[in-house]
Amino acid sequence: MNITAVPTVSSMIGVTRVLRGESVANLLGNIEISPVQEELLRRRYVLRALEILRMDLKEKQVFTLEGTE
Amino acid sequence: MNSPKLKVVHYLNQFFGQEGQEEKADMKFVIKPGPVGPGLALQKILGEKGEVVATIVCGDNYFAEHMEEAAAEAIKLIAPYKPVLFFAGPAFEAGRYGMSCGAICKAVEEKLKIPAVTGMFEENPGVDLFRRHVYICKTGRSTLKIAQTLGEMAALAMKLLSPEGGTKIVTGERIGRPAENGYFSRGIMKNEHTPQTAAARGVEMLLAKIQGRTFETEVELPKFRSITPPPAMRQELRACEIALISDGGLVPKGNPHGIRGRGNLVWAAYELESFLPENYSPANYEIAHTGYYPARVLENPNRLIPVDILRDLEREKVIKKLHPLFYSTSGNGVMQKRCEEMGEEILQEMKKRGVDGAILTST
Amino acid sequence: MKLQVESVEIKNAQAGPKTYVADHQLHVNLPELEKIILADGRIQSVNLDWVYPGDRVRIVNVVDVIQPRCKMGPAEEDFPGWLGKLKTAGEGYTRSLQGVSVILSNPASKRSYSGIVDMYGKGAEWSKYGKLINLCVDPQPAGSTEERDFEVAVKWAGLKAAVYLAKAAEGHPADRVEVFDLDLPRPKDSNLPRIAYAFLLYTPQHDYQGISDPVLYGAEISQSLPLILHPNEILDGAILNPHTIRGMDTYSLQNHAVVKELYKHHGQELLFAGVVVYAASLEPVKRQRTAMMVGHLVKNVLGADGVILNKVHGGMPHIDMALAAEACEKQGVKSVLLIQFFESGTSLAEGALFNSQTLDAVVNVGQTLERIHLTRPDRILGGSADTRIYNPQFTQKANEAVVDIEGFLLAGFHDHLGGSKIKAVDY
Repeated sequence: MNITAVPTVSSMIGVTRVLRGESVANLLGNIEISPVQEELLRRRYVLRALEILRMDLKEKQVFTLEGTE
Repeated sequence: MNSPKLKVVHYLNQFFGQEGQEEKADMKFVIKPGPVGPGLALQKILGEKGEVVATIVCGDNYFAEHMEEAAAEAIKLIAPYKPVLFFAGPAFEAGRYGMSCGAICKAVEEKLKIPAVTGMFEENPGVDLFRRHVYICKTGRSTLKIAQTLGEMAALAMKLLSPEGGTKIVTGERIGRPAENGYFSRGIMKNEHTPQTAAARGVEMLLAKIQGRTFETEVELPKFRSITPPPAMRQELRACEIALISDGGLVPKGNPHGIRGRGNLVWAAYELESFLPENYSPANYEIAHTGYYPARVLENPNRLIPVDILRDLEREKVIKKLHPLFYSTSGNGVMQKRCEEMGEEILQEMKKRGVDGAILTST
Repeated sequence: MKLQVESVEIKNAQAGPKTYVADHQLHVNLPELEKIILADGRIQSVNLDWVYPGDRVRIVNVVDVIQPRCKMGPAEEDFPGWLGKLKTAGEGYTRSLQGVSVILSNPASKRSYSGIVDMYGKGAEWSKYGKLINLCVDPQPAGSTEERDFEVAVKWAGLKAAVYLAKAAEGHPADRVEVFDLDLPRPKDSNLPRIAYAFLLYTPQHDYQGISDPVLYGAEISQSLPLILHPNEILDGAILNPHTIRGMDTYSLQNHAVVKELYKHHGQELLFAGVVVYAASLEPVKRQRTAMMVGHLVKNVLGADGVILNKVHGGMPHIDMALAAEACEKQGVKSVLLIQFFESGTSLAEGALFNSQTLDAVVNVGQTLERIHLTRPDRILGGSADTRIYNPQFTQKANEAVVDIEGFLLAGFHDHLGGSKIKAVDY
């Protein structure tokens, strides 16, 4: 599956499992929170990505940490 | 004024070169003076402007089985005739013939630096392989139209040699547009001079759009095929091996595989244990990608490839294993076709090594 | 708001004991200008050189090109928020010099690349600046000056030169007067279609050291949400080019092609409804928020029937601009987009990066990475023979027999604001 901060492009070209990330220059990080919080955030992303890999989908979908776009 | 006749050499396969049919498909190169077979029609079309001084023939199989050496051999045979123009085929639908026409034209363009023109039907595999290197006229399927096709090839060739061709191009090169000259686009973009500024064209286009008048967009939007979502990973996560791929250009300092920051063509696999250890140092990385500001990722590469988390999850037995190799490339301004190829190549590697699921991170 | 720009055509320029313009000849007391520039303690010394079309001179480390302009009234501020005190730009009287520009170099720049200007050969043929008489301003930093601070000092030196030259024409009759008189139209003012201009003015993706350059009244805008501006503010010095030339520079902003084109048709085929300015976003949610707000401002605040959009250099901003255009189209506002293309190995379709059906009206401003080969100059300003000129594949110096650059580095050739007469075509 694909984690990206520009999900419209991935979706446009046909990628079926897309997870929206944080930022183009800092996909799975965040400089505004503490390093400990940042790692927890990254863990949430990875678990969500793994969850998506285990989902059966009928058509392409863009997911967010909480739900879908 | 009498201008000298342009010297032309023509390539044909064993069949059109009148050597024989399938039984002669293995024949090596022969070069004969003057035009042969369809070359006679070509000579007629060229009239006083050009002379087919030689025809080079070889078997489709011979060429297909030794493409590089055959091309080099051909150049050696062609060069002494000092042609200013080269024609091959046309090959229409014939696949092997199309490949050899494309390969020989490519070699002629590169080594003899003269225009080389051939003709193929759009489904000929030679089109995709050689369109970026060679002028391939669009033909139909049927070889019955050979004389007409040779006429189109000759017309394109004359345009390529004529000083009037392509004067709209900013760099001054003499090329005619594919759409107007019946050849397959070479997949390059050139800047042309325009009489109006972009701003003027834009306002005009907007007024037409608002008023419901017809207008012509300057950019056809891309169309992409629809992909059916592949089935989910069947096994429980704790039985799965997960791989990481990224197009963000993360490479070891020194960029040993020469991954390019823009218009990249290659990918590389790095052993995560040495590439991104737990006690990594930012000094050991580079970002080969000019499309984003790299400092955040360099401070902590886990922000692009979440190795730290996957290692934790492996330790906690949430997943079976983090795949030991990281597949790295750079996806900034890369040809779509090459992206697809790289994806396919990486997929084969992962399949061979028993990967169950992959996370591709993009910037 | 009403702005009157009075242009004086300069036919020749040279150094001299006094600064003045007579008979379209500009005379400049360079030591006096030097003193004004050196009043800034961040600058140790500055080279000032006149160059003329045909001189075999290459100017390197170019960070901006500025048209000489000054305000003509008392209590007016030149380049407000930059050199001048904060004051809304775009009203009153501005003097402009035609035929001359200030070419600003930062020889101490550590950014990946800077622009170049050639006064001879192909470079001059293709670039509008190669045809002007130019004053090259090349400051060196005082020892203790911090890098980014010096970049600002360099910009101010260029602005000071631009103002100083324009002031020299005081009293000289104007050759051309342009009036930009626009009260943003209220609804029901007329039946003409109302056209807004949405300007994606900045992208933070290439930020040097991760810090955004200032672009609007001395401030950066990458953290802010979309803003409404009066077009005269763009023409009159509120917006300056950031510290790198990438198909845009201050001179092009001062002569903004889309703004001037809309003014040309205003009151005849259309009403110019105003300008929305916004930045591209690295974060997807901010990108969506920005697009939504641009659509809303264009439709509901400016009351537009149509919108013309353009963007600065960069691939990612294609998406930001496309989303903003879609937000407009969704509310019934018809859009036209101006986009540029990159890598030569792709087709126009591959380079678009968006494919929404409503974005069916696209103008292309050229392919900015097409390579140009430039021959060796006799003299180099703004740097030295050793100055590196950027090439994505190899290292090269300013003094090579042939320099191979991508088009966007030749200042004055490409113009993302729509002012150049080129377009990219599939071949």
